[in-house]
Amino acid sequence: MKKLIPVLVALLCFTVFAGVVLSTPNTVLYFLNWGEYIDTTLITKFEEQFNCQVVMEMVTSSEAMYQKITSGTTNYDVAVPGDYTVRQLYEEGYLRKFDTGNSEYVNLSAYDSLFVSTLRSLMAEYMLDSKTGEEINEYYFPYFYGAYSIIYSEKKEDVPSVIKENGFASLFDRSLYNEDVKIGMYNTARWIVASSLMAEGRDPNITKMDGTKDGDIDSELKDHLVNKLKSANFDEFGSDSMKRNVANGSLDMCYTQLGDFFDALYLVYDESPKGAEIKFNVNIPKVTSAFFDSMVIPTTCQNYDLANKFVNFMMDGDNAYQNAQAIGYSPTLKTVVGKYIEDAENGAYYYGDETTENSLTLKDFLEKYPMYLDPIGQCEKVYMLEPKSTQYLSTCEIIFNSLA
Amino acid sequence: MKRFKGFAIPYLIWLILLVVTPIVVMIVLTFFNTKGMDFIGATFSLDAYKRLADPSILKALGNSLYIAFFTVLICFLLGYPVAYFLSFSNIKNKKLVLLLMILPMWSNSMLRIVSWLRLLSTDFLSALNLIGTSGAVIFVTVTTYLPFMIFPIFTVLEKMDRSIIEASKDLGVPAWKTFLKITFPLSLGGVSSGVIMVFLPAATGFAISQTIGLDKVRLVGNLLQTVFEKNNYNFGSLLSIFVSVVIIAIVLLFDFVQNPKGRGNK
Amino acid sequence: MLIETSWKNVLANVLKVLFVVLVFSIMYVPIVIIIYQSFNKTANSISPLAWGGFTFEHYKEIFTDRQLYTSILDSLLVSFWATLLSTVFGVFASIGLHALNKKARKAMDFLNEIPMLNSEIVTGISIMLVCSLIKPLFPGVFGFPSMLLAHTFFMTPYVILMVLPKLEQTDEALFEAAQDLGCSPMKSLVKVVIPSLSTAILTGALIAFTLSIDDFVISFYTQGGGFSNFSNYVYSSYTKKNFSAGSYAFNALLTFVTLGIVLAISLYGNHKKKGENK
Repeated sequence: MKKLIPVLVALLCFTVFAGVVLSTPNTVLYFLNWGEYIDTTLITKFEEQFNCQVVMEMVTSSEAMYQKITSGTTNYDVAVPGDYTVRQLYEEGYLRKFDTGNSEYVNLSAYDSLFVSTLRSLMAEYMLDSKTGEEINEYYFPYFYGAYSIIYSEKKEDVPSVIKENGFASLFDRSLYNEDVKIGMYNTARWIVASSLMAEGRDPNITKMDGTKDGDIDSELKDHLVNKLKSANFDEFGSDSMKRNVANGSLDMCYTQLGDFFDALYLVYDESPKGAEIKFNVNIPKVTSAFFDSMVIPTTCQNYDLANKFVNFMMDGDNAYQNAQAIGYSPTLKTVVGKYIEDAENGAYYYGDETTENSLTLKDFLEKYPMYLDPIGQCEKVYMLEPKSTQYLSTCEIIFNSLA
Repeated sequence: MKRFKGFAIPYLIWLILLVVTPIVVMIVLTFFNTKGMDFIGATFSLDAYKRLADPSILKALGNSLYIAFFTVLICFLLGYPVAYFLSFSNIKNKKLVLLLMILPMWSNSMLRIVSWLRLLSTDFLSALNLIGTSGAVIFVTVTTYLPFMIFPIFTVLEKMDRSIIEASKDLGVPAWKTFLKITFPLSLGGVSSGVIMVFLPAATGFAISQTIGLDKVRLVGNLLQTVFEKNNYNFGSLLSIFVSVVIIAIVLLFDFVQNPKGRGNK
Repeated sequence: MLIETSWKNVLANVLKVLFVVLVFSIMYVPIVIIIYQSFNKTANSISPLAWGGFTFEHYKEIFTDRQLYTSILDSLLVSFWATLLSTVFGVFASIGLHALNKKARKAMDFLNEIPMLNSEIVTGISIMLVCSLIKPLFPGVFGFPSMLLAHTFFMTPYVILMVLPKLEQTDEALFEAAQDLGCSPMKSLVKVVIPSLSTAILTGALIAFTLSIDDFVISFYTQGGGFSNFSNYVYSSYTKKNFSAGSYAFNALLTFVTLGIVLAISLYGNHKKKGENK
């Protein structure tokens, strides 16, 4: 027993020490985010400005985000779910309306004039209350957006042309290529199903071959998808790792979101001080689906005012511009797009400056990659993924599992 | 010391609360369609049982057992000789060697897995296409859990009465026969602990198959993880029970084969 | 004949040593990579393991990267407390189990084995379900409390596994003698029986701590409220560009310190032995 006392004392000392380091003397904002999805200096700025602490947790899929919000293991104040998850959360009553009437939040109250027009029309068409058919605007603020795309390596000669010609179908048919290629697929079951449907020019939401979108995927479609995916024989299922693998050449192409490409592009510039040789590119197929992730306030929110302040802060033109420059996804705010174009005219740099060997002007960047500011401008048909039942998601999961 | 029977009671209550309660909750959950743990608006349903019949479940279980079997086998083939040589060697600093063996375990296992991933993804090794194969998953699982095999065997060998082996030697029994007839049977207790300690995490983990297996090698652990991530607590509970029953049955069967007289006679 | 045997012996010994060294080196490969990465400027490079120059920056990050040091402190906090709780709990449970009659003992042994035989993932899920059940009564349960509960739960059987066999070898006479000398039963237990178990208790605590600090799966399911641990930090961010290479540095530092202690102890031990031999 006597020996236990020094142990206890040491332990208590450590606990007090850890408590002091971990403690948050001021208010805490619990923020559920994707990894690599915010410029952390903005968080510091927000913390200093509002004398609070932001505790960020990260998830890797929209479904995980839904689970984290609804299971209530943490009382999140702000989260960034994808479009169809926002709708689902709204329908199930997990979202709180923003305080858009409060003039203190200048950006929140300017809802209608905030967003770029392509996105605004997607929102108007898609983000509706299922019963009343009205827009659910004041429940979400689009944060970044983009389209599902293919990132590919330019190492092999025929890869770019095949992808350009065939869109998502080029991920499923190896006979299109003269040589052996390595293909990566995103490890989210629902996206796998969506990509294989879009590869056939079909709506990614269908549950039957005849185009019905209700209920669960029927066995005919299920078998069809399993066979298709089995014959595709992907070399890798992954998430963030795939863009890195395409960038370093160990993967020839992968199905992912547009923002991943710009993220990887920036990384390669960052790692090559002597000048970057970019050997990979991105293609947005003519038939694809768009997505946007939005900031929402879950009903678990413990600090409603601070949550509003935070989203208002992130929707501020300057902050959003700074954030967009750090993240590869396309900016949602009109003012940010305006700033990009203005800065490009003024000779600003996308990477580096006139003194660095490795630099790219913003003008060149926007000319080379026009899809950055307009991800779906060149598309013929743009779908959106819709909220689906648990059974539907289970079937997607079963399809994914049957590939192993 | 019979008067301290009462000391078992708090532990009994603790075990009942934390072992029995979840089993009951899980069994209840399997019969409903709930939103996570939320029973409001729950409906009676046998969907979970229907889904258990899907061939992909058995396949994942098969993959798990396959990976775990080879992991255990390789761990045994590598671990037994190491434990044996160390225990029967006449090096002075046996303790130091043993501590050097523990040292890798003080490194975070997740970081060790990530390090293997980085190494296997370097230009030179990625040409071998190891990542994403069952072989690579088995290899990394072996390196992660090998100490769990070596220690119990080493401990048993150290405690073994060396005079029996000496006696056998004096009687002119060849060394290999002494090993097969005496040393090995006497060390079986350690082997069985080692086998169980390696088998359990190898069969049910999900991190190694996800990172090293690139999600192409999908094990029951991966299924469980994604099912709960999708908020499907109903099927998740059923799958948990199913996995537990299968794994515990295998362990008990192994235990029985290895020591048919039962655990009490150890 | 004799010469031939010794030649064979030498060969066999060389092979044995080679085998052991080979197995050791396989286990040390990740450790070497961790140390290499901890000094590598481009530890997070797109090209895996590309050397970008030598730096001590990552060691600084242990104290400056909030996500990282928070996760390290979380890990230590849970492991220390859970080790203490499970050790105390395990010792008293062992004494209780030892006192039971055969039939009750068998039932308890079975219950006690369940946490050990159950897979980590199911244990994690089970504790998560229990915590979700009590969440309405105790809203802050996810975080430190849930992780402490889960860790104590899975560690206690290991302590019992170490302590109980030792207790069974302990001479009942020791306990009775203490009482004959005027100690109360409780006092004889604390003053005589438990100290005689100290090595087993220490081993149990050490095993429990090692398992707890390294745990990933059980903590994965019981984390929450902004409280997590180091393994989960690595898991959730190792593919991200903001993954702190300070993780490698922290781990390397731990390796250096333990290696130092191990070598110091063994050198000190040798020194002492030599002194005794004189």
